[in-house]
Amino acid sequence: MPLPDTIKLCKTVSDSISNSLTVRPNSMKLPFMPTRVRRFLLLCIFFAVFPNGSFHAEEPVRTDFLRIQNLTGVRGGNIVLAVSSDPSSFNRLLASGLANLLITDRLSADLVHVNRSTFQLEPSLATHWEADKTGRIYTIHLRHGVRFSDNTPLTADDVLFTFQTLTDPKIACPLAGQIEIDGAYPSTAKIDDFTVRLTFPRPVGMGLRMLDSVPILPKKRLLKAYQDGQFSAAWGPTVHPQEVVGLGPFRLREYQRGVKIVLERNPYYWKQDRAGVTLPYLDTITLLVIPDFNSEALRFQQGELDLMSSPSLSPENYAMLRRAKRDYVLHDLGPGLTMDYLWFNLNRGVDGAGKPHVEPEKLALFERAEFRQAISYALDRHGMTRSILLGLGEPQYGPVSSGNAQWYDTGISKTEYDPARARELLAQCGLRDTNGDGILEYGEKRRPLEISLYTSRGNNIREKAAQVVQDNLSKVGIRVGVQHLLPNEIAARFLGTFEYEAILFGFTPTDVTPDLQTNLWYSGGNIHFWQPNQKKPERAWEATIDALISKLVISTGDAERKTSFDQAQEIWARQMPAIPLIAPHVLAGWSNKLGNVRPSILAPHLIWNAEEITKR
Amino acid sequence: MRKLRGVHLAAGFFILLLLIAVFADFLSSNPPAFQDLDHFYHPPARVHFFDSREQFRWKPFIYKTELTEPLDAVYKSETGEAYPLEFFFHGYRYGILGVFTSDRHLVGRGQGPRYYPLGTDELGRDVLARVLAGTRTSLLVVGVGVVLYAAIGLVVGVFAGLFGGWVDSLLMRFSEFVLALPALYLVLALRSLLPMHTPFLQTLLWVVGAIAAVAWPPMARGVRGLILQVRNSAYVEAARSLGGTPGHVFLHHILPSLTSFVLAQLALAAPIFLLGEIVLSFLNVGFQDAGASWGSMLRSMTDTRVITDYWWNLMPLCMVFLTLLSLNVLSSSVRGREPEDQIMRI
Amino acid sequence: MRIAAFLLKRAVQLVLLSLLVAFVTFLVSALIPGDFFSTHMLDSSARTETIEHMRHAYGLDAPFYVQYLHWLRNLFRLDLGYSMFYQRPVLQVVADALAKTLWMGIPALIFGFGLGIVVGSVHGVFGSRLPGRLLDFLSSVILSLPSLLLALAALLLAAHTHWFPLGGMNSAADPNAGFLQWAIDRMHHLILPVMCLAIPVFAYVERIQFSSTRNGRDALPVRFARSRGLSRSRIFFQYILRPGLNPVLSISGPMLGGILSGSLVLEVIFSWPGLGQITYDALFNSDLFLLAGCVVGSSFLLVVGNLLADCALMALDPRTRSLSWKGL
Repeated sequence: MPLPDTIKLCKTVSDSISNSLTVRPNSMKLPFMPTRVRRFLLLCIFFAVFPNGSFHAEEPVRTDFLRIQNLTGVRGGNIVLAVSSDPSSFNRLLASGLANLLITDRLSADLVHVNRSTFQLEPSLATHWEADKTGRIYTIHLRHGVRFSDNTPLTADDVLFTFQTLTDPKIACPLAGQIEIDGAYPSTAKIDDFTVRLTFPRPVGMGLRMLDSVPILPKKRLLKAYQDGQFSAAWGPTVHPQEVVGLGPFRLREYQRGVKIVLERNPYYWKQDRAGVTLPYLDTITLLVIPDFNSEALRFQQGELDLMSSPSLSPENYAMLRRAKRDYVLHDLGPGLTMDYLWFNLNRGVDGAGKPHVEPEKLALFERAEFRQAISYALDRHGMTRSILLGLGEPQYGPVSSGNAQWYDTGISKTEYDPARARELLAQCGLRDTNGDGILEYGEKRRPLEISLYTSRGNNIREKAAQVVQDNLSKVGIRVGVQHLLPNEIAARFLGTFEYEAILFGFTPTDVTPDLQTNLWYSGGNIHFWQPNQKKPERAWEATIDALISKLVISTGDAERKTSFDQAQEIWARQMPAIPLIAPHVLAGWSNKLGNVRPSILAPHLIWNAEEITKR
Repeated sequence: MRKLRGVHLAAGFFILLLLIAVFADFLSSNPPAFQDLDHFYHPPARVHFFDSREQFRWKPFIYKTELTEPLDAVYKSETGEAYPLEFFFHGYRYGILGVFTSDRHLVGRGQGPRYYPLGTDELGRDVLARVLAGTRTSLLVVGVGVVLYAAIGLVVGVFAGLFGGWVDSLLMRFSEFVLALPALYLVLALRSLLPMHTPFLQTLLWVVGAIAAVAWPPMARGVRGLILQVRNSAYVEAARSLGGTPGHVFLHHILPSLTSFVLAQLALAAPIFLLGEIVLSFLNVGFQDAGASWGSMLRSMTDTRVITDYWWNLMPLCMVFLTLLSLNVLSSSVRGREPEDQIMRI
Repeated sequence: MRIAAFLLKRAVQLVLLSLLVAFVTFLVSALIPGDFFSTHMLDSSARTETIEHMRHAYGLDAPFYVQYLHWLRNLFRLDLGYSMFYQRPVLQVVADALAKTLWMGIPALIFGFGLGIVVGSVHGVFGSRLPGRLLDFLSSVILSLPSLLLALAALLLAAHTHWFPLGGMNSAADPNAGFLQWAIDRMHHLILPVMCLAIPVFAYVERIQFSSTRNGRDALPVRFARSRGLSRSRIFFQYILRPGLNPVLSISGPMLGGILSGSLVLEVIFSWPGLGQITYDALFNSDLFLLAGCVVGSSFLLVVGNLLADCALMALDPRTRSLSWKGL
């Protein structure tokens, strides 16, 4: 009911009450109250009961805040950190690459979130969810009263819109692979304004973990762009900051190409600390574009930057910063998830001109498990961690980094440095040095064994590791020629043209769970390093691994999943299709002025909880 | 005794470089590519004459060192046992000028703790050995490169100058095109086209070829300009009028007038090749690290601690600096007192 | 009229050159396996169809001459394509970066040349013994130092003394600062990079100017002018300096190329987002259209630089005007 009518009604009510009070001649008269005062008092009582000024009960605007226990802090402050390149989009759905993720993760929020410290799945925009008996249907309940950074309400429509764009094949969303199950996306259905149902083609072992970091986008803002086919360009680098609307703790204030990105507090954020203070604590976050790691380290040392972490905090910079100790603290978080592998081309096919991808005699050699194991025994991993990583690294013998405490197989077989054993195994493969030149000969014509190794340009660790590999293998009689290529070229070679002999490359998984890397584990996967896209597993052990992984992604019991995965890791360690090398430690440093910093081995190591960080 | 001028010093330095290039392996204690991952960033070995009991020993010796702190490359000497240095000892086998082989080295140790006169780099390789081997690489690059540069420049310039007309225009357009190419980026991109295996000789040819291919225009234009000048000069006309065939005139009259210019250009080109090799190897498109060159050694400079803590790795910079200095001195003396004549455009 | 014809001819040459250079870029990129989206397969574990779709949208699956023709066609509409890495039109990115490179390059050229000419002339005219030899030695030393070392040394100097900022174009400062404060801050950030760029230029120019001044001083026309009793300054400016500038101006064109490629190193070390860095990014990420744009941009810069140097030369030295410039 509109306000003027209300006041008229009040007047009527007050008049009628006062009339009723003055009608009886013998009753006690009320003390003298002018009509106006009477009306005023009644209005006050009225508004106390109906705060909105009407008789309709409007929806309570009360936001269902996510309260974080054990969290306290003081509001205010600005932190400065570095990104190594300009963002290409402010839309988290389209972002890839560390710089993009650093920024867009602060601007958006997901339904459920993996706590980077405990690795557990926690409620985020969803308050709770349940799966049905079959494990295929998940019902997700949204938080009530949540508002976007432009003060519009969040509803299930936004969630559905997000899934629609995510699964649209015309938009290349990097996150699409996360929610793909057996080649199909889950179907979404709206139950009501705050409830959504997801239906998967089969039971999903990891549950809703796949929805971590999937941002919920504002339908009202992006619908038109989507319908016009301009979704990918909608929140590009030239967008007006106020157009970028999200549910994250911060929103975009300013962006200058090549210089800086400034984020400011989102006043409508839906998290609170223990005392009921709305997060985030910080007023602003400034990200400076600094491509050179050394410059970044120097500026951190001077106090211009408040925090720094891997990869720009390399072991060399860590050593330098440790010596020039100022007003900051440095932490070594142990091995991270990043790993480099050395693998041989096991593709059996031929290229367009009919030439085999790999010389048949060499391929026969690469196919033998003893050869690959011999290579692994020949590598001095401890020497690598000592000299390349200055001791801040861990030798790896299995496909999963030992830093992944939840999934690493602690009993895995290890091929520790043993050149004698390597030579034995190579001899078993028929490799002998008959002419005494120090190089083994292979094949019918007894040619010297020379292998070309490609690695990517621009990565210091890989370049040095390639040299050590070259030296290690020359000591067991294999001559290796190292070539540095652009990363795109290497990817094209092992994923597309298959023209290579050996590659030294690596990647960083975004989460600890292996369910999100099935494209790597399955023999038919498109990033199955040594031979992708196999129509059916070409080797017995590949079939075994496929079966184990299939079992893993379906079962929901934690122990069951771990056992399957342990077995898969063990097979890998014996067969060595891709030989793991070293995993660098995750290093982090931050100013003493910061509080509530919880470093994690998952990227971004220090600001994944940006809303909790304080600065004095 | 004549006064020792800069030119003499520079020439002497070059002869020294030549000797080093030939005898590099003899002067090294360890193979240049040998990685000692337990002794990376090792400081230059401290040679002692007095042992822990203050006794003098005739043979200088070193102590065994152990890495106690990999993060800062801190080494501790074990003063228990003294390991004497051996002279003319039997080390690794090497060849001299591809003809002789030997395994004698000037000073070092055959076994046990290795002797690192100038310390080691980030992967434990002997810095001195690499610098000496790099001398060989750099001299080869400069030598072959300068010759190639002169050859291309001469051929193109002579063709343009002698034939004139459309040949001249075409060649000059082409030289402008080459000058306008952002060479560095194209070289980076072209590196991927090389065949899979890259032994030393092929890499050398690639580096020299890439630099010469983008550096030749100034030489060609200079040669062409000079030929145009000389062609119409009096003595050439005289020779022609006396009945000299074009070939004779060219060989005996025109070509010799180019000699001083060519020599000056050679001296000017040498730094281009030296620096070019350094830039290419620094960006990892030249010599890879196993084939030691001064440029690939300078790649360790991306770690700023090298400048402050591990300064012995800057030895190649010293060598580069001295070589360039000598080249500058030599070239200004070769050019004589009118350098601008070579550059001036009329 | 002749000057106009000359300029027109040069302009046409410039355009043709740029187009040819771009063609070479497309050709070379086609010869290297992989394109911008190759690593997307790793990042995303996306479907191959999606990657193919993106490739097709950008025209990356066409043969290189088709790509080149498309690019040419768009060029007539002044559209240099779309940068996949920066997600902006190439023209915008390149123009922006070019401006930033010139912020560093033009002061360096002015200082290097200006100071070099002044010092070289003074040195040549007076030619005193000790300061002269010292200057000779210093310039030899400077010429023998690669710019990389200069830049690293400058950065370390800044880190230890705090007199200079450690790179970047402006401080992460107060957004409400006035224009004057911004200008001063920008100057402060420019000092080190410009010095690193200008010092080798200075050394080179000083040498050439010194020798040309010294020869000019002893030349016949000068002696004649002195015997006629002309004032010292007039002799210097009209008879020594003006003809003596010929060699310096002759090398200034090619020197611009050196400035451009030298600045790549400096831009990386001082975090200066200029053309060199953009080109390196384009190369590293196989961003074909950005690379073509950058390559055209830098060759444009090179040729314009040469042209300006030639014009200056013609303006200053009448001897260069008369002979036919057909061949050049």
